[in-house]
Amino acid sequence: MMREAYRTQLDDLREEVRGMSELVIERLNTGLDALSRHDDRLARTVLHGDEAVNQRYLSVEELCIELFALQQPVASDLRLVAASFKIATDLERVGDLAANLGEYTLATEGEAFPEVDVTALGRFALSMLENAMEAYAANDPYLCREVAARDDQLDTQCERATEVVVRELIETDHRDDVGTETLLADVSRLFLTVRDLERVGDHAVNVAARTLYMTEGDDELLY
Amino acid sequence: MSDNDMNEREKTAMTEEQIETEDVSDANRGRVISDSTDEADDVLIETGPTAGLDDDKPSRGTGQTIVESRNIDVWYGDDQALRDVSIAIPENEVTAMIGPSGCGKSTFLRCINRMNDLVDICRVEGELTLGGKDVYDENIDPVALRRRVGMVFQKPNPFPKSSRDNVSYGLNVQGIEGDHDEIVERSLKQAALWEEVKDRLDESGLGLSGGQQQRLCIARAIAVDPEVILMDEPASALDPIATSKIEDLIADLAEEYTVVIVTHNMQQAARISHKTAVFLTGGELVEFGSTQKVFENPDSERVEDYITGKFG
Amino acid sequence: MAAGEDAVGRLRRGSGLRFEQLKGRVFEALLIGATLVGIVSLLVLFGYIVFDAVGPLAASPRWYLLYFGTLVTPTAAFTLYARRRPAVRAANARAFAAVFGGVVLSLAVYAVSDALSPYDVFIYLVFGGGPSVSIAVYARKMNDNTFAGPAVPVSMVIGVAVAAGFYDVLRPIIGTVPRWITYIAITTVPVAAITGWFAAREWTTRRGLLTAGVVVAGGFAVAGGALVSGIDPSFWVVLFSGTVVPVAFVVGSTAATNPEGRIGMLGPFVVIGGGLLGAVVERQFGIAGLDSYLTPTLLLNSWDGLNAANAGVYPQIVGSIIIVAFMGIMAIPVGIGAAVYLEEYAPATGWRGRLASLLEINIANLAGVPSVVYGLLGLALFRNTLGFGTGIVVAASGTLGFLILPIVVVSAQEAIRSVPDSRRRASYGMGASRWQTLREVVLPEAVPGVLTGTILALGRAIGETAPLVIIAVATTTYSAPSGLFSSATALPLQIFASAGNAKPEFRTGVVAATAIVLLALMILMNAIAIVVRNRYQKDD
Repeated sequence: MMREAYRTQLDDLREEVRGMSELVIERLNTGLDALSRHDDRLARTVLHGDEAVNQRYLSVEELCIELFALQQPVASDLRLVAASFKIATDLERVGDLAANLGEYTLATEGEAFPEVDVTALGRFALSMLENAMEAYAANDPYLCREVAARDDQLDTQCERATEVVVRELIETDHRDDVGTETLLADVSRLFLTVRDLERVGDHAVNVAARTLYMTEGDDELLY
Repeated sequence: MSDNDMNEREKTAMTEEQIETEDVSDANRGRVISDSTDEADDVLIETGPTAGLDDDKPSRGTGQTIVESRNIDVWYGDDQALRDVSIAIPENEVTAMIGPSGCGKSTFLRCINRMNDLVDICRVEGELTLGGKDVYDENIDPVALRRRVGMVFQKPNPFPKSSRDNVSYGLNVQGIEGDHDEIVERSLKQAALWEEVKDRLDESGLGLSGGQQQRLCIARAIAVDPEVILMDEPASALDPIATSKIEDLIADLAEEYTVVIVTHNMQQAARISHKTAVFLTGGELVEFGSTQKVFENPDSERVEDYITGKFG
Repeated sequence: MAAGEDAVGRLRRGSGLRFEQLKGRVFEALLIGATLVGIVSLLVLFGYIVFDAVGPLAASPRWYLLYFGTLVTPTAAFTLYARRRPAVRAANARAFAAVFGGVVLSLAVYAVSDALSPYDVFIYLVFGGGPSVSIAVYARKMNDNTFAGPAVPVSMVIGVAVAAGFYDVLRPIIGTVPRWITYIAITTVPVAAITGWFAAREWTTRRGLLTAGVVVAGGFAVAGGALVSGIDPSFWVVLFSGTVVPVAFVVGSTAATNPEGRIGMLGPFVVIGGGLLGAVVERQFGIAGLDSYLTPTLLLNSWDGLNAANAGVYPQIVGSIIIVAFMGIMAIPVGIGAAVYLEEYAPATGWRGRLASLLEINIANLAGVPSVVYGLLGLALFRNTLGFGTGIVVAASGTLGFLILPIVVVSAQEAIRSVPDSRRRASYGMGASRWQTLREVVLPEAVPGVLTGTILALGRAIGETAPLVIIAVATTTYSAPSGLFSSATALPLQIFASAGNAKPEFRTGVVAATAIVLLALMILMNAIAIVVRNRYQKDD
């Protein structure tokens, strides 16, 4: 084995990305918990924790640029660094989305549409991200393809959730119960939440696609 | 800011080129496959040596193969330096050969212009064609062959003559008619050396700096208008600035000539070549394909390990 | 605190280290001692010889004062002046080379031509040199080198053969011409051609022709002047062509190209003028001079075994030069040819390769064979097998030729081997054939090395005694050899013979003076070798 320092740096990069992903996943988890339990304290933790993710993101970016500049990685090393560079961006965005969840929690008073299981959607998206990161850590191309395949499922579920809300809006007359303003706020928040969770799935697919490129040099999932 | 712009443009250009490559390769696929079926069986690593024959058609140049070897074996005495090398080098492109020391890449280079003939114990078997003619045919005079295949060596080796005489050396020994002064000027301009030496053409070429000497050697090689220029680590003895000049020059030369370059510097191969051949220990050609492919996603595990520095 | 002291302690010289340094110094002192032993013993030897040869004790203090004033002081002053001025030094060196080289060359050419008969030299020169030079000039003019390589030496050989064949017809015809005209033909004309060529290269063809014409006209003028004064013009023609013309050319071109160094050309004239002035004053005032045997008599007279003051070694000097020159003509081409074959053509493998390496080993060993053994070879070959006469030039040259052949081969091989392989590869890579590579790249670069080795070999040959004794070369002849088949002797033989003379002034004075003449010849050859080498090395 040669270029010991370089290899160590590549391992460090991988570790750094994994560390970042753990942080992001944890935050997403917390966000989902906050959302499901209407826990304002948790929500605030999520809101304020974004800074840490950004720090990790900058450090991954720096590491990648350093590797590009000083070590001129090629072949699988090149793909690892390039993929990590992109994956970090995706993870950072997921971190932002987690913060959004905290925001929504704080803004919500009560359960507006209990028949829409936002937490389940969230867990599903979260599991996709977790699997994508597992694939990244283990260089597992099969898992990558599986994550990508599950995106359709998530999309369908999200669509269905939206549909449920819209249908209920049409069928039920809410004008009596609560103020129209509140209803409007609740509905749009719910849509935003669903959209954000779908985004998490998209980012998970991106991570999987980059990981697949990284492991196999295959850009079939990239578009 | 402007740097960024440039990179951006370059990137775009590259992507376009890439797309073009794929188009061409698709168009040619049918023909080439039928071409190479008879050889694919002989090759140990499927993806390697024949890769140059059946995919990644040239992104530029004429798309013709100019130098082609089939199952070349080379021995130095009892040591085998090259094993069953088959490769098709495209015309008007830069083909780089990389690999660890002693992998046979320079040996292969010297097979092309039969410089190995000068080594008594060297034995070459197999077929190597230049423009369709077997250069190891009995009727082929190596001297005549070398007039069509120029060579630039690792260490700049101008003759202890004036710059002018250095460049016109090939014209004289080959008995080429014409206005030598004009050819000298043109060659020096092509080698990007004219401005630096035009006032001291009659001074010894050994008085030039290393990088200038190497460009003088390149001018000497192109003065006789060869079809192929072989370069054996042409920049390994030069400083980075001189190296950059040589690399720019190689890119220019590829407009008119076919350049085959052996280099130890993988980044250099990546920078300047269109195609890359990777030789590994034991004299095997393990992979041959477009440079981008080789450096981004090589087919062979061993090539991967080599270019990422996992073994050397 | 403690750590600091510790570090200082470690840095201080320990006794072990001091002992190591002592050993080093002792070793160095021993090496200096060894060098000094060599140098000092040589100096003592030379001093002893010089002392014997020139008898410095006989001269009065006034004599020393006189020459100190006329010769040593001006020369020293001039040297000091030139020391810090490179331009002056360069001009000085050129002037010295022209003056002394010209004088020595003129004397040697005159002595050899006079001994061999200028008519013969003329015939062979015209037939051997004429066609080959014209071919070379024509090839150069046509810018076509395809035929010159083989044609020049072939035409030379054919020309010499033709001259030998028609010698009996030609000689009487040529013999009707006065001697001095043949000297003009064999010295003035070539010198005129060379200076004319230089001038043409520097300026224009017209000027070149003019220069050549002026030189030839000068030759005739000198001859005419001598005829009018009633002396034989031959020597003066040679001196004019070999010394005056080159000196004038060097002076002229230096004055034109190196104005600030112009004064440097006075150097040799300061020395010569000082010496002459001293000699005039010495004679005029009857100052007691050296009791020297190193006199014009020694150089110009022939041997007198009874009267040391009258003994000269002129025939020996000319004999040595002719023997060595003819030996060089025979051995050098053969030796260089063998070296070129072994280095450039001989394969490394196969039976021819084995033969070549066998040859190479044997040649290297032959270079170390004692010279007496070569004498036996010469005796067996020239005398017993070919039946040549005793002590003739051909036999002596041939024997010495065998002696230096391995030296020439080995040194030429070294020189050819020192041409970097990268140059050969570059040439082959340009599509040059082996012969083109050899001619255009290898030989031009090997020439200085080959020449140096060759001239050193000539120096070795000129001092050889033993092989000549074995092939029974006469120790003393009273006239210079008149041809290749006439008997000759050489300086070292005369030294060897007269060292056993009954009279002590021979054993000390004449022998020492003759030895100095021999040493001067060798130093001259080595100086030529050094000049040639430096000249070519500067080009790199």
